[in-house]
Amino acid sequence: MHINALENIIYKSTAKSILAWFVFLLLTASNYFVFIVTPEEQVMGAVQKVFYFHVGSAIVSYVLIAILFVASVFYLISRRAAWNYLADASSSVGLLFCSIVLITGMIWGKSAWNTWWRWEPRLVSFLVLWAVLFSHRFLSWQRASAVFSAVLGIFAALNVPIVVFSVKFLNQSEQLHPQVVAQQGLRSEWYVFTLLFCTISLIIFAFLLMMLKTKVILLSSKYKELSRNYG
Amino acid sequence: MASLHQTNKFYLLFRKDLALFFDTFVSLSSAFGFAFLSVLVATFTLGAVILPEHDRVILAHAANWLCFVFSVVYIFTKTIEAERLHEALDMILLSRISPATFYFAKWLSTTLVVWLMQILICLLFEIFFAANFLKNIFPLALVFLLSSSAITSTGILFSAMSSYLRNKEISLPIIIFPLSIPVLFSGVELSMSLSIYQNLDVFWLSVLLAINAISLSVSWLLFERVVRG
Repeated sequence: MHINALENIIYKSTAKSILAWFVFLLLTASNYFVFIVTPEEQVMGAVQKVFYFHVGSAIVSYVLIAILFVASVFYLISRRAAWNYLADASSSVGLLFCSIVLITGMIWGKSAWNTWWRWEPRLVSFLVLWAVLFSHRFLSWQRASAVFSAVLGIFAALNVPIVVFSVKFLNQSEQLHPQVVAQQGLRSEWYVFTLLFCTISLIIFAFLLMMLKTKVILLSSKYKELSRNYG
Repeated sequence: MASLHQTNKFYLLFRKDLALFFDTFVSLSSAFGFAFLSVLVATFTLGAVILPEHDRVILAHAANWLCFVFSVVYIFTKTIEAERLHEALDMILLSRISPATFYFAKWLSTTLVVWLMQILICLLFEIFFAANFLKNIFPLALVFLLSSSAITSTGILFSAMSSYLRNKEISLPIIIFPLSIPVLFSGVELSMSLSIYQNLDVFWLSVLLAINAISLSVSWLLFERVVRG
């Protein structure tokens, strides 16, 4: 990807405004489906509503880390700055969504297990993923070389299969994290529809955030270039 | 150097790295001193609690791995520093030594040092904590070797990376700790299964072997990119 191609996508303000309004409508509709339309779960009650944002954010995190992986690999091969900007933006938004997953998971855990945190495979592996993304951001704050960020980006992506398959590490009876979708626990059609709708809305929202973050990165790199030339 | 075979170059680099660790003895003694202090702190804080034998052994294993990871990070901060300080790394790369040869020599020598450090920490726990580690010392040494190798394979890569950063003392732990958790997890599970069931848990052993294979191959592939910048 060339930097001009990236700029063409990022600087189109009309397209961005339309996308922002579309995201606003999608998120409003998601909240409507979650809190008004979908029936309340019998055992968990209102707290179960957090599940739609928790699972949706987890899927968004995986998508963003996949983008981080692809952008990091392509940066190492081509050394084009546009890939580095894309990786930087995806790790930044990825960290945000990983944090949402952890926080919503804790809220659910407090209600279901009567504790904020349990040391079981899915939770620990996701916390490790969050920590690796944090160290990726740390490298960026340190203004480290883009090569280093790309290398760490690849290692961050290697953690995703560990998180996904961590529930297979122990018997279902020995772990607490529920496998709702895998065990077909979504009995009402509304549960499935709302989960899909929320996930798609959050993916588009993450896409908008990535565009905005990439614009900030592009502008700040241009500012640095100008300061070097005329400062 | 150019006329030497890669195996000879590997052997020379391996000897050079071991000499850097053992001849000056500064980094090794500092790492050991740091490990000793962390064992003492663990003994003072955890040893004061009166626990049944079974619980004390489990606690000793957890504390042993904790002390290990702290001392290992100290070793990693020193492992590429000598080459970077005297610009020897550039000279080595200019003298037709492939980065892969340099990486594997560094990995092997550092793994041996890290392994030695872990055995020393284990002995300290045996003395101060009555942890009963010596009963299974040989299988435990194998677990230590595998975990040392896994943690060193990424440690070398990130040590090289952090040596270029401004705040390298804090950068390396921030990068290394999250990536070392899967190694620690399987290491703790294996050493505890040895203490409790007297055998190695095959599942966690295969996890540790898989981590070794993945981290060594990915780090080897990426090392050249890091040192050439």
